[in-house]
Amino acid sequence: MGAAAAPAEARTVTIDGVGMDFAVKGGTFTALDDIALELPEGGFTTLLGPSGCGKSTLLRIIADVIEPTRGTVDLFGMTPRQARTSGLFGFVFQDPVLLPWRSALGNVELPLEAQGVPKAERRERAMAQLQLVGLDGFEDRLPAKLSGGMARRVAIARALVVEPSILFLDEPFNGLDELRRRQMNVELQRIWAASGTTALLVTHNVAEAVFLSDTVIVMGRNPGHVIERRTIDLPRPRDIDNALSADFIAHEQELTQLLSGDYRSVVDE
Amino acid sequence: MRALPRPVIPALFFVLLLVAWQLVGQAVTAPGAVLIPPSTIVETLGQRWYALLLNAGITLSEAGLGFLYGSLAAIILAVVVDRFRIVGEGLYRLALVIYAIPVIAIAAPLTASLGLGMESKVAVAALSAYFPVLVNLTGALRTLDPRVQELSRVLAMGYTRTLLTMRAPAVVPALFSSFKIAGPAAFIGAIIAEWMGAEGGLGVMLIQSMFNFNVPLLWTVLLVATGLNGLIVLLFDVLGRLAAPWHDSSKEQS
Repeated sequence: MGAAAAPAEARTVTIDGVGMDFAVKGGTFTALDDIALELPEGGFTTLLGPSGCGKSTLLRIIADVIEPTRGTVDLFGMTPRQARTSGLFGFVFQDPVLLPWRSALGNVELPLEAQGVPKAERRERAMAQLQLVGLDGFEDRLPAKLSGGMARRVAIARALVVEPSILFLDEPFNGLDELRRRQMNVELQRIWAASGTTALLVTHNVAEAVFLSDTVIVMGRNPGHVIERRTIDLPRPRDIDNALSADFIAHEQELTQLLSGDYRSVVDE
Repeated sequence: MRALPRPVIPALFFVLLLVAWQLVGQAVTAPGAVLIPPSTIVETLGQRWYALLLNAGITLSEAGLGFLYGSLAAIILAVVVDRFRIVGEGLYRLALVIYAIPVIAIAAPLTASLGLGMESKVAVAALSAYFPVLVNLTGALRTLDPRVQELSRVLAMGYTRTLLTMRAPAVVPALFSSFKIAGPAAFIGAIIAEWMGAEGGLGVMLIQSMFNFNVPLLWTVLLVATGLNGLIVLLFDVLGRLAAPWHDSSKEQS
């Protein structure tokens, strides 16, 4: 595929030849090797893989939290740093990471404060976002008085309040029980569809990846690499019952097989 | 039988101790008796309340000013240590060395150079107060949640904005814990400085009643000083709760 064939203003995220080495005792550990990816705008892409495949590292490289050893990342024609400092990112961490002295509303307003948005507008946009995640009426609660699921909704609202061009989700429902996780997946799908943003999710949960994604990137270990890119063409909106359909289960099985293939290859070494 | 409510047991113990103290104090009434019974102390308190109040006021204002300067310097230094690691490390070491000098040893030369007035007391109080604040605050800033740092990076917040909106509020509980140590330290520092020579203050009262063999007054001053020290701790405890109510409530939850 010639680069010249693509329109110059291609609104995609392109990752090319990205590698990451970490210095360890007596040498270097290669966490990621020669990753090449393209994330379509407005799509929901998931990095799926076992622990230690470097999926979180890859997410952090794209989000400019860390810098890669090799390779380039292009976000809509910008470097990751330019995109980050222009406020194009929304980021949801493994834990909600809310400021305990701020109310739910205050936490959602935080990114807007960083961007210097005036107070009245800040309040209005944060309230609208809390409404979108289903938390109107809870805006004055401190994080200690929110349930685990509610705290995660606040974290999602905080990520979306800046109307990001790309939403990073780093195992956002880690630690929730399975039922709550599925409920949050349905919610996330709705919220993401309403926002129209490009989303990049990291997870090791196969069902979560199939349920949410347009595209699943399966990753393997030693060093972290892409095994396969798979399109999930299930119709949207998807609901919990869809997870029982034959198509859904077929996707789930094939992805699980790819992952266990990687697992076996590691065990054999 | 139902168990006694919690505060009753220590209170009962305290009352028993007072009674025992009174009885022993009354029994040993020989001249120069070491143990002054509480009744005599209360009596002295009644007779000398004005002098005690006046001198306590002097010592408290010296300690208060010293505390203010000392903790202000410590807060600035802690931020410098945090912001400029290399310069900060050196300054931190220097602060450690200064703190290693015993207060009583530094009080003498400071009084000699600053005079018998208030300045030397404020200086000793400040020197006693800065260290707990510096150590606590530097530690609290250093051990801050790395996930919060990541959040500030993703949000492209600069050092100052991150410090003011995310890090400063997080260290408020640690700051007030350090005040609970620094406050009494400043108070004791002021008293020690007064021993070296002063025009007034609880330290002067202590020295004078010692040289006059006025043992009841000696004990009374001691008790007043102890009470004030306790009040200082209580004050910062209450202020700390008011300043960071979220800290308290989160502890109750988990």
